[in-house]
Amino acid sequence: MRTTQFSLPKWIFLSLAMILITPHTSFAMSSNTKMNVDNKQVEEKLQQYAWYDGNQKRSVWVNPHIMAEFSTPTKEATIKSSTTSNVKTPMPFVRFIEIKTDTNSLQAVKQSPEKSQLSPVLHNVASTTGTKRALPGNVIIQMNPDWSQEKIENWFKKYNLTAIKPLTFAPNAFLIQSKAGLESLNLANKLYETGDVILASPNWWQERATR
Amino acid sequence: MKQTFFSKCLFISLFAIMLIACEGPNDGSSDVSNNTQFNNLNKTAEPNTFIDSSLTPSNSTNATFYFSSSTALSIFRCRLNDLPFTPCYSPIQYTNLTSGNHTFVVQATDFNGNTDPSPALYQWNINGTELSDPLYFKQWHLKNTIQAGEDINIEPIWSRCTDDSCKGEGVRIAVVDNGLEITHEDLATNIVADKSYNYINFSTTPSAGDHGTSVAGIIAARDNSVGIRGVASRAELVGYDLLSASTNINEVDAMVRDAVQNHVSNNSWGPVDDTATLEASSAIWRTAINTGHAIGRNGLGTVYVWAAGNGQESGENSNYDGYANYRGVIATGAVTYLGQRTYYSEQGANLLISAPGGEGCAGVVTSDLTGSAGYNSVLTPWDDLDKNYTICFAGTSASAPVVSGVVALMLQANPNLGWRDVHAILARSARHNDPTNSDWQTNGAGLTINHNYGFGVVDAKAAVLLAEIWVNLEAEKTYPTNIEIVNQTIGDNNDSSVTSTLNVTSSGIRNIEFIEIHFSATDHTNSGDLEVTLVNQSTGTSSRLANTHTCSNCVPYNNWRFGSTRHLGEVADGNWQLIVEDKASNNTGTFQSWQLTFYGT
Repeated sequence: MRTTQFSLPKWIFLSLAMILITPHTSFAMSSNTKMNVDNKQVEEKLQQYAWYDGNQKRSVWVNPHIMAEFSTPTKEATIKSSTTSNVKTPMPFVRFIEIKTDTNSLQAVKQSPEKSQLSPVLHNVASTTGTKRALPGNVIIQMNPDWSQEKIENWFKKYNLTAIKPLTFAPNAFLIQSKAGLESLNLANKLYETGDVILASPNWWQERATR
Repeated sequence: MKQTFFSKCLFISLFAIMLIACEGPNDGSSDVSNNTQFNNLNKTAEPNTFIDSSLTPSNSTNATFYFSSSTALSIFRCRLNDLPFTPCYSPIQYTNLTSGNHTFVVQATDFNGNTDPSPALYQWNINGTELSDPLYFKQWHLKNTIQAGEDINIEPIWSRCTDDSCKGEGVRIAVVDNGLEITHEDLATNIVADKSYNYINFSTTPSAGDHGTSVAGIIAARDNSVGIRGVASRAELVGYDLLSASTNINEVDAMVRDAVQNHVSNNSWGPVDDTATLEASSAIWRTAINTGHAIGRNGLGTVYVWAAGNGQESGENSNYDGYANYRGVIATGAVTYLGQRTYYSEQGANLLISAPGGEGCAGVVTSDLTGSAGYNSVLTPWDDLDKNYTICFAGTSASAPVVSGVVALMLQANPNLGWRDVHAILARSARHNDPTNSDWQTNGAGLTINHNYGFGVVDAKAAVLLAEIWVNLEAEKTYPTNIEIVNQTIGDNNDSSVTSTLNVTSSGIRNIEFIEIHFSATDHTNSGDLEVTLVNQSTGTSSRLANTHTCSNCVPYNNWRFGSTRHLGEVADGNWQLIVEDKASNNTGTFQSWQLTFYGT
């Protein structure tokens, strides 16, 4: 019995393949371009801040599209506003909230209720894809180890500071109270620039991973 | 013709049947001595059975016997304890034996069917419960039966004691991780009550973290006829679930909490891997480590063990991690059961040592969250252990706790070791693994070093023995050079390197322990283009500090601190070169400055 096989010439097959693939590629490229445009636009919006890591000045950039909310042991789910997504689940120590409207994270944090523990999300690089850090509140300072307790307390009063507790990682180190967000960064910078401290750093939360 | 063929087949078949009948059954279950047909053929003297040699260590669950008969062509049957006789031949090995008394019997039967009426017998005892953990035989990192010698050589240490004096008793290890299941059946006995910490609710019950539970098991799972066995199976454990709330304040607390009582701090975490981006440690973290050295163990210093990182395939280098490359920690790489670098383990001039870390489900067998929680669940049928354990824990997360356990044994052997002494002993006692790897280099002190392994794979026996006789290092000296201003343009994407030389004189350091290298090229925004190498011109020893790589979010080198262990034992005085090359296109910059800081005696 004779059989006949239908054989598609190779060039027709390749042509069809190219026709099928090309639109997707173009779409992807255009999407990438669009994404690139978006990224460029995002980068242009990234606001830069400086902070002092010991005696080294470092820069961080704000991610305008997400913010962080920190929980406390007694804190329940919170924050419903026009600028944020709804809260749905019990909170871990930190969760990230996408900013859905035309505003940005800095404005969203400013508009949040007084007792909220919101912070913009920042990055070590001028890109929203870098590892995250945020500001849950409070400032870490280390005073000169030769300062007396009285001198330290007077210094606290001078700058209207509330010491939450002494810290054990270094002599004359304290945790100073401040709100979450950029307020803690600004306070830390202000205290460091007095020249009176060895170290003044906001209490950063940073993205960490197991290995 | 057909009939003739049939006849032939029938004849052959019958003949074969007769032959088989004459040989007798071969199922090994019958007692040949009771086959009267053979007994009547030839009445000769019964054979004598001899046990020629035996390998029956009292601390091993394995035993091997070599035996023979006075009569050639004898067959044998063997019996272990009360089990029935089975056919056997020499040598015979028994595995997974329990502790207690054992009896081996072997009996010869000669070709004529005469059986030795007095079989040879051997009795021995396996000590205590040290090796009775039922999953011990799977823990290749402790005893590798697949590739002999590619383990941490720990059984000789355990065999030295019949009590707890060689299992880490009295040494406390803090597991800084995502938590720890303090009620786990194989960990609970070793957990120090009320000394763990939860950074979410501030209680002494940490989160039941899967990762931390597995880390803890590698360090100190109890030797108790349950589950697995830890490297230091009688050491004490506390768990700090830092990763539940990884703020600066919690990080520094975890480093110094109970520093006097915590001998070792295991840290199988760090900045996110796979970014190939410089991730600096904070000044306060480094201060906390220094404080731990100053006050830990009443001044001898807490020993910090750190996972080197898993991002090798993403272009990472452990020297891009400001935690793992700090001089105060033991950066630990990972090897497979074949003793070679795992695919993920990051290279680095800062590595001190390596240890088994495994890959995938050829991982380091360890504890897992109880029941269906954790890594071993209904969703992982290939993880074929009891659900309270897992075979699929792998990473530098696994290799670091192996080293932490060995450090615990060292500190039990010699409680007076300082933290720097521990670093030095580990380096000098490490096993030279993967001998054909081309990166091995002998430094000016005669020590072999490798960017993949540090000084090699941890050798528990060698480390403990060296710890016992170790004379502590003298007080540490520090010598920072001046900042060398270079300000030379680095040629883009070519082989034209920029080399700067520092001449070090009168440092007073004749035995380097660690070198910090501060490097700046702030205007080269694509830092991944740069390859940076430190060379001791006096010895030729080189430290590859940075490789050309792709970083998605490159951070320029702004006084970046590299670290190197590779010049251990060398003299600081002499000429040191820093060589910088740009090996990728489209970004240019300047080699601006550099500085060396030597630590040693």
